Amino acid sequence: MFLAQSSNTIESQAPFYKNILEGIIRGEKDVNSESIDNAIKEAKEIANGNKTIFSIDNDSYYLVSTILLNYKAKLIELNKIEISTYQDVLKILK
Amino acid sequence: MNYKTIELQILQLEESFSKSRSNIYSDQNKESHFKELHDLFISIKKSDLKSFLLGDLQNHFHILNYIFKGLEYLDNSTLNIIPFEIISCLKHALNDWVKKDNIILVTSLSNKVEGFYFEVAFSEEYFIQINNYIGALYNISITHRLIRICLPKVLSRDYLSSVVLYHELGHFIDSELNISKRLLANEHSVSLENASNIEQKFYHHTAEYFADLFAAQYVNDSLSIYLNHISNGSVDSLTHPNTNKRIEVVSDFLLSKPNDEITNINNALMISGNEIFKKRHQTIDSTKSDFKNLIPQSFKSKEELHSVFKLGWDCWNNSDTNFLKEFKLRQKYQIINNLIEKSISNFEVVQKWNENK
Repeated sequence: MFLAQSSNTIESQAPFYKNILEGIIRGEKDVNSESIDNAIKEAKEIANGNKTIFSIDNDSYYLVSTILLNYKAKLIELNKIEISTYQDVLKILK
Repeated sequence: MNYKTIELQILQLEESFSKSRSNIYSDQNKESHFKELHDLFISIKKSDLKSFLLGDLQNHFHILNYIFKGLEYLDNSTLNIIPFEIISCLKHALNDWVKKDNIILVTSLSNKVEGFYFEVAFSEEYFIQINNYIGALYNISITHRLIRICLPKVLSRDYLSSVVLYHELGHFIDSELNISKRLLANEHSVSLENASNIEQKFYHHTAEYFADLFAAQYVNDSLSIYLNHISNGSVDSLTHPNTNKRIEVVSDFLLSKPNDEITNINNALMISGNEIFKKRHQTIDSTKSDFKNLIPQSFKSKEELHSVFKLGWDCWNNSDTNFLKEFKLRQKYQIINNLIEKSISNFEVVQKWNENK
């Protein structure tokens, strides 16, 4: 009403990321798994105050911001990305 | 969900393809996009669905929906249906903000009179993910990305209400650049999915101001005039600020007056590496325009082209006293719409002519 905003704001890219994460957890090598690691690292940079939410690339905004906004406390303490990190991110996306 | 879900989708999509096969599109890119969607469909059809894990089935469900949506819009963007003039104006505005050459603007015509919107479900991030996935699985990629505009069939050549599409394009640009989402995250440390009512209201109102200001860059206060006609002084809601506040924000923008909403949005645009909102139109005085001689307006620039909608509104609002005063009401409406359409059409023909010289 009074100039509708859009037809759909559901973040439909989540299934593709979930698929990559499930593959990594199963131990499969996926050419796209690097994008998950990069997103976790970028979210950590923002959580630590080295970058801001405004610096996230539009190409990965959904993934980085979702990790940042739902996993901030753990990101600050995160030293190494492990299988449990991927499991946590997968839970967030589910 | 299991493989039968996907089998059913494939059969439904097969029907859709058989109806679309004879389409003649308004440009070559749409033709090649159709072919790529069909190639992807054939690859999926040949795949061993029963061997897929749940994650792959879910991804295929999304991909087949993506193809379905693509066909729906391609079907409504054929040579004799597409509202060429308004789409060409929107393309110019889009080019100011999205510097990619793989984009195709497509339309779907709604039977609902209020059916103006941009479909934002398939972001650039989604497009990349879908291409990564089908690239690895089928060695296929989709070259073009569709930007989907829906407009009411009955108003597809009503250029006074077409100003709404600049507002809707604003929502699309906001979604592309994630400006309202970034402001929500920065202000409230929350994503839209987990936002409280107050936080959702913050997000939706910011998004509305963004879209209003985006439109005002090109069509001046035309959208405020139309909004005033249709909203009847609406009050604040979860999704929209009250009409008076919206009109005030646009007015402050056009008068270069300080305003917190404008400052916040422009700061967010700037620090995320984008251009800020500024006037991107060159006003045409209706009393000195070509319209008063009942001929199409000639434009020297794209900035003047965008002003044709404001010119149309000025002529309509003063049609009891201006050059239109002797015409019947219906004629006034038709004359204004015809003049706007011909003005845009002439500009585009001359542009193409000059490009091909």
